Amino acid sequence: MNHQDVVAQLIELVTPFAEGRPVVITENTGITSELGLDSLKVMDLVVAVEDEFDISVPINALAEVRTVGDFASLIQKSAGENA
Amino acid sequence: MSADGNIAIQVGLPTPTMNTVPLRRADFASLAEVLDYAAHGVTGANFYAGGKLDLALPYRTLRKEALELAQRLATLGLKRGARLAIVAETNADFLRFFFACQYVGLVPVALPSTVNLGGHDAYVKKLRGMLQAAGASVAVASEAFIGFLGEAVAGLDIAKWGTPAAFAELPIQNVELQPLGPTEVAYLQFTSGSTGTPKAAMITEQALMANLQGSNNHGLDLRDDDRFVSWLPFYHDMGLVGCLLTVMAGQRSIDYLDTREFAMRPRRWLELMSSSKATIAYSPPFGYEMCARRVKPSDIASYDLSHWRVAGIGAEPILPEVPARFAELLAPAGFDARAFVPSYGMAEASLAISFSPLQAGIVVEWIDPANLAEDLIATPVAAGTGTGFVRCGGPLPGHELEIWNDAGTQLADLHVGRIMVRGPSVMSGYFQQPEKTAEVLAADGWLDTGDIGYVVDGEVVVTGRHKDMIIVNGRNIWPQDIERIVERQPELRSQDASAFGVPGPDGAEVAAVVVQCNTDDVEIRESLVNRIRGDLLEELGIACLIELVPRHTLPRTSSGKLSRSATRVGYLERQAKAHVQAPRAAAAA
Repeated sequence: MNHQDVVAQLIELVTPFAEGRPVVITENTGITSELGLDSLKVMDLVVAVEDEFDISVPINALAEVRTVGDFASLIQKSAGENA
Repeated sequence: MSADGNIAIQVGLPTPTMNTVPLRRADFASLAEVLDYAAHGVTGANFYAGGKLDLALPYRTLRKEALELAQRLATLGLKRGARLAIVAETNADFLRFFFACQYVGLVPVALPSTVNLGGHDAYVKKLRGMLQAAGASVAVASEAFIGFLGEAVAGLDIAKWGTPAAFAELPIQNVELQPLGPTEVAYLQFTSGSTGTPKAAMITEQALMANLQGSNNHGLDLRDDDRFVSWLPFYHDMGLVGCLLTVMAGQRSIDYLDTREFAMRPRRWLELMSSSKATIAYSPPFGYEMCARRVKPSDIASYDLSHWRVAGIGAEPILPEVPARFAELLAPAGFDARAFVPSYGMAEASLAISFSPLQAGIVVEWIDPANLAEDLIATPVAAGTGTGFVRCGGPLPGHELEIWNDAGTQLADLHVGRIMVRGPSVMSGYFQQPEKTAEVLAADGWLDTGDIGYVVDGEVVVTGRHKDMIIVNGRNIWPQDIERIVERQPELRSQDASAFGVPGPDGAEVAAVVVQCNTDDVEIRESLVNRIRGDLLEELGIACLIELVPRHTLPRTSSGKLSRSATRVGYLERQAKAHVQAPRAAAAA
């Protein structure tokens, strides 16, 4: 999986959780700071990501995720380990 | 035959519900005695992941492993009563270390295993604060959390820290073990207090056993065909005492679901309840609400909740509609609304203070809110009108519960005041914090719970709680923590933020913070709000409404302190005026 493809897929998944804020979501958008996802929404997003990419996201690794791009990298890493 | 030489324990299957030794309801002097007796039977703890059994741990195996680990820990040569802190995940290692401590004379303390998105630094800081507050000599974390722990222990006076595998490499010293005795501290339990100043309640073996006897007999009327299921974390008092120690003290089997798995897929809880035919499970109202909100109607027919005889509910204020919705939704799966057992408790009282009578279900007190607020009297009104509060039962036998006014005078029934508790399960104090202890625990044994309520027909009704505390998504959030995080922004000073709870769009509580800043620059204001929002989410995991106001406009009390209640009133007035705007838009202004 190419990073930009994962980013694009992730943006699609995260958009409904962001409730219209901000208007444009990019790789550099902060998931907490700009999208304002609380811990429950993050869990829901993780469920959506796990289902979509068929991976298991390690909970401790989320501590290093700030932006959409960070999350995409984590997804790629998790997918690589599963492969 | 299993490795334990007992034909009743089958490899690959969860431990059985029916035991081979007679049920004893917590009539033990210490936790070591609890496990010693439980190890004679075939019951145990079972850990599930991804909907499958991951590990079955019979208590007899746990005892063997805990004794061996105790011998290894003995080689560290620690002082009796030294603290062993463990990042508590829902796995067998937590049980092994917790009980190894019991056998070798160390005091275990559970640390949270929750990290928020982007919350690396905040989590390390939190762990460090707790390790310091507990004066931990030993620290343990799994492979997944050891990195955080390593950062948190830097510079602290820790004798040994590492993963369970690192402790398994310690030599075994065949010394005579002297388990913790009745008057010694059994464990430290961090309270739900502010994370800025963590407090750990000291619970002695005899205090704990008094509480477990209360829950085994009076509270649950434990039977030999009872089985538990739990998704509650071990670092939470309801998870540790209610869903581990209570269970083992009655030699019952339990099926554990990881907390995170429950949060992601609440249906797993109901699936496990169904497949294991469990009879007892506890949850804060939040857990029942998550199920009611997320369970697929098409799945309901596949559940069998007809064995569920005690559905404990407590640990936070209970809105009557939450259990009502759950019961209605899951009635087709055999859930009986009379199974609900509202209870009241706290870490400072080991766990339970009161249980509602079994098979009574939720009993709602409908009260006139004006009389309640102005005259501090609970005046009953017609059902469905006024404000509904849930009865939480009478105190455990041997315990007293009274309602006092601020002058310390006991109040009559239906009069609202501070809920005070006295009895054998009350803590000995907060660890190494005599001043904090003196604030809540008097020399004559009365514990000020900090909660507000009244008594009717011998049952306690909690109407309010600890001043200022905000409950978001089932978690206790302290305004001073929000304010501390907000005021870290470089352009802000101390006393520039005031936080409080407000009703959200769906009736649930939402945190709000009003922040003073003196710039009109739209870009700077937007950046400030984004940074605050991000920090609050990383550190506390909650979304917060954020309002910026000009400097010197936050209301103060006569003594010059910021007044959260006055700020809240002003905020709500401004919101009402701007109510045409969506709350989100107003917050980001």
